[in-house]
Amino acid sequence: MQNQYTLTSTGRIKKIIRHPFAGFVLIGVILISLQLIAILSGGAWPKSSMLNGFASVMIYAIVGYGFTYLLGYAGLASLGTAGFVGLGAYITAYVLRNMPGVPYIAVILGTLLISLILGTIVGFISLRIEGIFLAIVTLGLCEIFYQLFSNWLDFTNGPNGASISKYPIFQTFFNMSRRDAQSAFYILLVFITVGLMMLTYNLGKSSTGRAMLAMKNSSSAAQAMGISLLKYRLLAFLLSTAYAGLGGVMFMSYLRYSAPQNYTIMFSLNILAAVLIGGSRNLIGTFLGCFIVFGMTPIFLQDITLFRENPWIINVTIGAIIVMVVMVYPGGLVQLANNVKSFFKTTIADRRLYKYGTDD
Amino acid sequence: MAQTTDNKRTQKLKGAGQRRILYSQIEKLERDIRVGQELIQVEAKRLAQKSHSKAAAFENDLKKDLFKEELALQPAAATRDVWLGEQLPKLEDKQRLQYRKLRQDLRRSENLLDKKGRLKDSDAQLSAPSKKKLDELLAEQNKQRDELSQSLLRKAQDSRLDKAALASRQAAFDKAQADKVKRVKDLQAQLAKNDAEHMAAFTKKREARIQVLRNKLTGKQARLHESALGAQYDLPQDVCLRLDNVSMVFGGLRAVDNLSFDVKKGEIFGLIGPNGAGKTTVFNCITQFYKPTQGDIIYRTHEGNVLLLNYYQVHDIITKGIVRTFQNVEVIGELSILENLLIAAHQEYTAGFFSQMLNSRKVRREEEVMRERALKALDYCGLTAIKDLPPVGQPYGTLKRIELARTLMAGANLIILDEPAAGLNDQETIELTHLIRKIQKDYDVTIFLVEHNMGLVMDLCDHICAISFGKKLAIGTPQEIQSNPVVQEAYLGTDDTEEIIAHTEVV
Repeated sequence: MQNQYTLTSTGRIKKIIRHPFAGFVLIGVILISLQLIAILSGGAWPKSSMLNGFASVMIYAIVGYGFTYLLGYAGLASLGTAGFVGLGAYITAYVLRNMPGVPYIAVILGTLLISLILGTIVGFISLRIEGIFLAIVTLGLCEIFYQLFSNWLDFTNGPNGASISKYPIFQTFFNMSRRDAQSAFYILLVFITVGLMMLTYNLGKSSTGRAMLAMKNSSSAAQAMGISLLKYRLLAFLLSTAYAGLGGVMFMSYLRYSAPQNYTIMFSLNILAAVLIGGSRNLIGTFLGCFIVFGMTPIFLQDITLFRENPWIINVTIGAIIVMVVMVYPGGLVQLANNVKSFFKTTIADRRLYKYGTDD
Repeated sequence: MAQTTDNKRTQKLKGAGQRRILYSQIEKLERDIRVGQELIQVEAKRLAQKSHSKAAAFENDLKKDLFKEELALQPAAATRDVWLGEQLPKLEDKQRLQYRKLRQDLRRSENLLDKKGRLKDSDAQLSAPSKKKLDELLAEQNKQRDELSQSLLRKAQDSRLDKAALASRQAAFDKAQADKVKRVKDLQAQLAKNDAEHMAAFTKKREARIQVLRNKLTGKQARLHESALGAQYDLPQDVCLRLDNVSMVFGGLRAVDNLSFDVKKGEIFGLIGPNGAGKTTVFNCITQFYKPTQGDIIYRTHEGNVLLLNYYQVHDIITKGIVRTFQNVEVIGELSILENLLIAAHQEYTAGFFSQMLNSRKVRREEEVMRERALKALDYCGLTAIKDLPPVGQPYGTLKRIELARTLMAGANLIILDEPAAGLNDQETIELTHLIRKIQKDYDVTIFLVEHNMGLVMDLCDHICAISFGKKLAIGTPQEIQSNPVVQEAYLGTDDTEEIIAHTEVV
């Protein structure tokens, strides 16, 4: 007789930890608890500039998730992201300023629709080419958008930038104070970010994601297996456009100001860098990549005297980090994480060997 | 065969577009019906598994509750054994580490170890006093184990019940035991009932859906046959694929020049020719990677519809049941082997974009159906053991088998193999030959292959077509091709027939 009925709870915990969404939820919980701490401590820590930093990381991460479809799944490099983000932001600003009666959800959906229509037109023209040529075509697109934003004064208010006075929903609909509305919108943003992570993950694991990967790895095999190249290229492009448009809406809604110089080619390149640093298909990696590229300055570097007094050092530091990551870990932060894991494993094994000798 | 002119082509085009649409719709309906039927099977299997594990977990919980009761009724020695079974492994682990640590320390003090802690010389022995120390430790540990055993026995004896209490406990236990059996049975019955109800509802819903699809299908088929659209291309019943004066011109190069041949249904057909003869170009024309400059490619599907392949796009070819492999193995390195197979079923997924994003139930079920199918194909090709690994780094023979499994996954009617034995060693080639023949027999498919390995071609093929510079040289059985002087000339040059024969036999 033997007692074989002792159940352990570790199995259940392991199952939860191993769930693909666990990391996403963890990021969400950390971000929300930062806001809660700020509310409880009356704004002593984290400071509102830091929270704004995290919010902008989230906004850029949303754009980045769209870009993972393009770069990580479909293997296309587009530099037109900035244009679509700007488009989303300016449409939001225009509608919220000039048509106060329109509900916010309609603003989001309308922006997505316009982005998709424009994306389809651009995609049909440009997706017959790939590689560096697509990058050049979309580079031109980005420049066109930039010139539009700078010169179409009625729509964008030109170089002075467009701004909105109130946070949508929370200030306009619920009549919250500005401070509360900001906190509430931050939390909404966290939910949107984490939700999009899950949706993006699901789509990536589905037959659509596989089809895109097949297309990236071997276009002839993909075609022979019944995958239409144009359809999936266009789909990847449209997804990235839609995410960029949504990112633009969030950018305008949370930061409430944008100027044309936000949407230069630098923006597109930064998103590209952030996604590459993250490991191009890993969503948590993309978030961390956005943190490194966009979030380090507002979140903690500007609190350090050296960096505050010499802002150029910040750019040099971030540039150096990007160079290091890409050179040492071409697979992105995912590869770094795997390396750290295996490092710990070998260290523990070495210690065991030293202490107890070889097993026999 | 008559020369196909452009004029004739346009005549054939009349009504062809509509017919093509009908064919595509019919094929899609047939696929959906097949997936629907598999869905029912998979759901039944999933449900049975779920109920089984639920009942097992319930029974396990009950047993766990009863176990203490049961233990109390046992003699002291038996109780001791159970406790010992729980506690002894932990103690033994601790003692083993203790022993190894002492041994390691002693070895280090005698300078037998290198820096990392390995033995410098694997035969090195400890000195006598050290060995004695180790033996002492072992004796000490034995004593500890005995002590544990004895203390547990004492504890067990202390907690023994007197006879009267024992009898009442026994009665209670028996009752509980009977109760347990009854409860488990009840649960199983309940689960079975629920499952049956669920399955009945599910099957009804699915079958209603399938019936709707069937009705649509019959409607479409009737439309196809009633109208003049039912008229089909002229193709004998036993022919699967016909190339009718196909030419492919790249700039000034005629890679394929007026090539015509028939591939019979259910045979293995080989296409041979010297390097640069245009064999792969022929394949690319059939699968529409290239649009032939001139000529028709006519194909009979599994259902018996005759199609002119020229009109289809390259990614539609797989839905007609034509699946190809590639000369230098095109597998998706970033996906696991199982997922590589799922790619081949891409056209059969019906779930929409948003349900994929939300990972809805439909998507999960469909995924399960496809996985089931993929597992079957993997099992058939002997790849089950490595199904979750990425294909990168697998030997070439395995990659070829993955491609073959992919063709099975797609439910192929005509499998086109582009140099299946290229890059394989002799053993792998033999295995592949067996596999190809087995597939042809078990799945009742037609196989069309290009190969340089003459041994394989002559061994495997029912008919062979030899081409050179895009032109047909000869067509016939392997023996006929082997003895054909024109083919020999193309392969080996003109003079010295004896040498040629010697060569052919060697190859």
